[in-house]
Amino acid sequence: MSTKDLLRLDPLAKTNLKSLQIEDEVDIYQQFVEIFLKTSDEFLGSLKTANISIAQRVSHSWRSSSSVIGAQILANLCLQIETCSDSKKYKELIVLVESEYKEVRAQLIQSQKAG
Amino acid sequence: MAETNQNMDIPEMITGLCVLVVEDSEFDRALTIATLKKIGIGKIQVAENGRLAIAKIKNAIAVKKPFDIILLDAKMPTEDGMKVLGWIRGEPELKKQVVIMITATVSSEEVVKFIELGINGYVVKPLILGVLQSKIFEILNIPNKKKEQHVD
Repeated sequence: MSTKDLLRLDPLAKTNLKSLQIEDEVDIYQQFVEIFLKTSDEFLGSLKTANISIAQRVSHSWRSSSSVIGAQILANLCLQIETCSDSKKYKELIVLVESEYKEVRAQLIQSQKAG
Repeated sequence: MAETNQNMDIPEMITGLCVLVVEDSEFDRALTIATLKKIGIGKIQVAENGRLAIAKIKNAIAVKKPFDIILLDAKMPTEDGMKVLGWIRGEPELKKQVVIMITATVSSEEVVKFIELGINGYVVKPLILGVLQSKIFEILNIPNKKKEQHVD
């Protein structure tokens, strides 16, 4: 699947996460978004400073959480970093990841407000 | 409305299960815990890495309250899932310990390694409620009412 076919925030992911809600407990989707944003901020910081080997491990974790939260383009970019061995290409990917995450972050905050 | 498992509808054999989740990623850990809670599992412990997992397993043996299931992330820094599984299978008291590996990628080489090391099953990330539930029920021989109703 090419990146252009992927959704920035797949609505099905929100439905799936909300299906884990247990009555009378805190809002599970809000919890997941909060953890995602917190860990993603850390991941982005690490990617900008880490060497390729650490970056590959970080992007592996970030790909998994991006996929669950529905950020398909971001997950796809993380996968590209995971498998990238070219330092020039790696730097280009970091720029793309940062830009994509900025959009995802804004949409998730909107999604949180929408409930 | 999200589907909700009410405790009164969940057999005691599920609510009474004690599960250890070994996962380094905070997000994946939260997802696994939420999924187990939704299945109805009442006792969940967590370990953020393989070293902590081994300590918790040793303690569980010492107090004679072993885990019914260990959910083990395959890829973790330093002591990864394979190492922990190798340790488990080397311990005489843990020969029959149920271990389910959670893995992001699954290659035939990986599956062969898992089997050689004696896993009871594996599930692929991202974790899906129905998949994990079916795997747990299958391994512990718990009747999966939902599945049976669907087949009928």
